[in-house]
Amino acid sequence: MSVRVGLVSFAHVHSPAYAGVLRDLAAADFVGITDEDTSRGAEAAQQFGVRFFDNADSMFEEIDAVVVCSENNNHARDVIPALQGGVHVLCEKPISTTVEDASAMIQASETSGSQLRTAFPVRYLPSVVRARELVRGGALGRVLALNGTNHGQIPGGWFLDPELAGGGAVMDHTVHLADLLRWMLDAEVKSVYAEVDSFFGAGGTDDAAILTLELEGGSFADGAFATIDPSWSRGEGYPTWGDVTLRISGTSGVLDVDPFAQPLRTFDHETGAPLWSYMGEDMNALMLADFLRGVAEDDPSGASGLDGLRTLEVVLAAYRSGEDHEPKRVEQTP
Amino acid sequence: MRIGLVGAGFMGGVHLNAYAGIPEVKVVGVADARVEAAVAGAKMVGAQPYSSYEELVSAEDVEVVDVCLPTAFHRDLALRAAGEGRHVILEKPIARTMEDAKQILDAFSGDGPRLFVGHVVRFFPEYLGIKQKIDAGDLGTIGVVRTSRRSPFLLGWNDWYADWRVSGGVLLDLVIHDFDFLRWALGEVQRVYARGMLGREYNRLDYVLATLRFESGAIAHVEGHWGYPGPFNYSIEVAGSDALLAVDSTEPTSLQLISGAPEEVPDLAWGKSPYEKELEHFIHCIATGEEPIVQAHDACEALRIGLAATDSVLTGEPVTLGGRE
Repeated sequence: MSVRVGLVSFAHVHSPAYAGVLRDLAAADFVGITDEDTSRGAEAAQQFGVRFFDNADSMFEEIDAVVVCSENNNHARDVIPALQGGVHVLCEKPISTTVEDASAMIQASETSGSQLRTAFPVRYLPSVVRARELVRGGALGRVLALNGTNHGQIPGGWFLDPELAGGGAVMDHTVHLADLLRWMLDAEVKSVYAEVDSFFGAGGTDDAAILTLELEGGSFADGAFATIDPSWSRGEGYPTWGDVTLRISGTSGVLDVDPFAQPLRTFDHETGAPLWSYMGEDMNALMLADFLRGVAEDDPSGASGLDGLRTLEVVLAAYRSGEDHEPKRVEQTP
Repeated sequence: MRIGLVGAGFMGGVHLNAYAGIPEVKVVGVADARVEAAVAGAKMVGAQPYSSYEELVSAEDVEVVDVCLPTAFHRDLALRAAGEGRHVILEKPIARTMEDAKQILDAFSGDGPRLFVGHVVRFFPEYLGIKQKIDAGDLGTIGVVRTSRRSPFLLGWNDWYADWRVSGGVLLDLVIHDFDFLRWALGEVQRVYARGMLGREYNRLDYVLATLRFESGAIAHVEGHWGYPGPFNYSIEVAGSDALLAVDSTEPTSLQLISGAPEEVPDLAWGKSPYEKELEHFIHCIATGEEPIVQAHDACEALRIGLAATDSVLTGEPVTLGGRE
């Protein structure tokens, strides 16, 4: 059976990609789009051949599942009514900009019985899935340290608005790697140290950082440490959007995970700029298919709202550390 | 110029190879307590083998002493050679402790013999190129620099590398290359935070991830791995406000021999080896009185960064580098 699905907001740069997948997935009955920016939403609805709802609640009455892509600061506003209306939610990362918002969303999911998932598509990349199996199968022995990057270009728009985005590169990019660490190792982040700054033109918001995390728990990596580089350090001339990489060093081996390696390299005679194209499987399609499967089968596996909250807590600790240059214990909200 | 080399181990062999290509020098003797090592090293350059520094300098007229001994022996030999009026080329790190380093520096502070410390990375063409591009302003404001240096574990004399209290571990013996280069390229370091394996007593395995904050504001992330299960490799990426620049030694080089045996010292096949360039430069500085690209003071500062990172690993706290001399 196909799942009736909607999309809230074209504020996020990922919205068009998600909408394209929802239109094409056999498991999806893409019903409609709602957006507080009605002209943006109506245009998108026309582009993807679905209905535009100028009222989110009326869309929620006609769907089983929804993908929320509003600004980080508006996630709770859009997610909680959906959950309360019996609609399962996949929320764009980061789950929110505050612990309070994330907790309220998780609470709404528990009360309503509707699933809340956080959009961590990197989990679905085939090399990442295999890496997790290798690590958990003992291929590296004991995991000692992880060295991760999620680089990108400065996104612009509301991503540079501290109110709407809740921060810059650290808020935008840290969560992907923080989620991978927790998910691969069954460990939690105990403390965070961070150097945070702005160099690459993001204006007042942070666009550069190095985070150092200490991990605890889990049978593979208790006591391991990790670094995350979430910098928006790629400029216009970079041949692709950025990267996600993770180097895992253990007592008996080193695993380099670079899901977007071996790109198709184009050298355009006109522009003179090289272009790298990833040719592997589409992580967004894999994530959305799993979300819809989970809705159809009443299976809430996948990155949860709590997974979203745990990674947000790492981000917030990093910002605190960036202020006074002291390692911060990560406070886990009950 | 007459060279006496002391310590015919791993780096001693690399230096002897390099001297063979420098016509201005003659290696007159090679000293090593392990007679076979001394003989093998001496044979490489047609020199005489000796079993100790004392034997070497009493038998040969040595102008320059090249010290490739374990770090802990640097101070005593350097002080002695300085007292005898001999120039010294010292493998990095300059010493294991700041106190030893200062004593060595003091011994060479006058107008007499001179001291050169082998921070060879400054002589690698790609690192030199990065330095030149940064200096030319091609990258704009430097934001985040990422370096990596990974090496199989070396089996040294008496397995001295394995005890970090003696060798300083990966921070003082390997990653100090990157500390020196970064300080050369970006200026003084303000703060260091590092996590690593020190104190965890893993056998022949050391790994570190360090974050440096420079007075310029730039942030550097430094990875070091001793006991890496593959061939030696390094990489560096410099992200500036105007450009991004990256080098990775694992990319195919100009010349690749596929025969099954890993090469432990990188062979760039771009011309002269960086070790030969370094030693040639030091010899040139001795002959002309010119200041070297890497001064003894720089070696002390690289050690200071390495020791700060060591402290950070052991305490779990960031270390602020203040009161530089």
